[in-house]
Amino acid sequence: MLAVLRLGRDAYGVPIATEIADRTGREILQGSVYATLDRLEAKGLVISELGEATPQRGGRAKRYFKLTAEGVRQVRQAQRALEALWVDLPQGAGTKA
Amino acid sequence: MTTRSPPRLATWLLAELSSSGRLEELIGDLSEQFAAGRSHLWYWHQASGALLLDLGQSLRTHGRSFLCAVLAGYALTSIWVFANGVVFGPLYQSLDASAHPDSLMRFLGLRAAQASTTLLVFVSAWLVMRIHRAHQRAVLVTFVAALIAPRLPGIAHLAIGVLAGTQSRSILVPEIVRTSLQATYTPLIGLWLIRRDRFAEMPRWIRFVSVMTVVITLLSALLYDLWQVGAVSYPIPARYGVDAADIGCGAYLAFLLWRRESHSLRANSVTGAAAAGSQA
Repeated sequence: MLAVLRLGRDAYGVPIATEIADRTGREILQGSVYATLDRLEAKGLVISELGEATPQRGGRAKRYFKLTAEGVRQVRQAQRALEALWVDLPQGAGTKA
Repeated sequence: MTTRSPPRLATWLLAELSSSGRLEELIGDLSEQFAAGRSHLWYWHQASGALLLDLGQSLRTHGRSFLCAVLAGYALTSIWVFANGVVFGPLYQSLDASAHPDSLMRFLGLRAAQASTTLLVFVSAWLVMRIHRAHQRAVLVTFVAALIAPRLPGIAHLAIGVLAGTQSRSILVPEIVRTSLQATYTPLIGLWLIRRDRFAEMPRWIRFVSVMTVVITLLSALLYDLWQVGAVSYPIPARYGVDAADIGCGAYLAFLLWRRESHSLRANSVTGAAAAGSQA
């Protein structure tokens, strides 16, 4: 969802996978991008629409994704929850003694 | 500027085996990255990974009904074959390809046995696809594999025997023919049952091949039964030729119906996606 949010209008399969790979340092399966986005779309957190086809894609159309208002709200909520979990965490916590 | 074409086999496997609703977009994404310089290995990794993800998802969602469908079809087939053996077994044992005074009754008995077997194929294919509707082609192929797999060791054993000179070809070939007919006609009838258009709306070529298949199948069965009751002479080369035509025609029609089903599924997925997109 964060990758979709970062990419804005350019959020279709290829840049989403590239963005995740660049940010996390891990190559991901293109199929897993669609599996995840399908689930998010079913939950009403993203919406999608067909875009243009190019010769490089063998004439197949792109599918652009966009976060819904509920999707943005849930991303913010997840961010707040994560930040709250970091608050007051002692320095060096989780490292071996 | 020319565009690199992605590996055709990997794309074909993905297109035929995946049940993902985003198949067109996925293949488009993979093609775009391949055109930008990704390797063949990368493409195959992505395509096989997508298929495995798809399979995992399907098993999680539909695994139980899939297994139930195959088991129910297998159980029905086993019971039916057993009952057929009880009813028609004595008739088959009395056949020796020579004329008898009661040849007509024997011929009618063979026709009844054939009708029962044909009905079994229709009912079992219908039952399997009725229980598991989500992936009808996949469940059909698995059902056929479950029916055929137990026969393969026996065929391999006979084939080794023929090569070693301890078994006769006249035992091996009918077994191969029976297995091939089942492997061809069960999916064919299943594909025929799930087709989305009426016979009259099908392309002319498919209608022609369908009629030819029915004619050859009937002719083959009639000739074989008439020969078994001693009414006609049916030399081995002619028998093999008609059997090969029967299996070949059925397999070709199954291929045509499979491809047609793939196209209509793809068209439905694009139409559905477009409708979803326009609603969004």
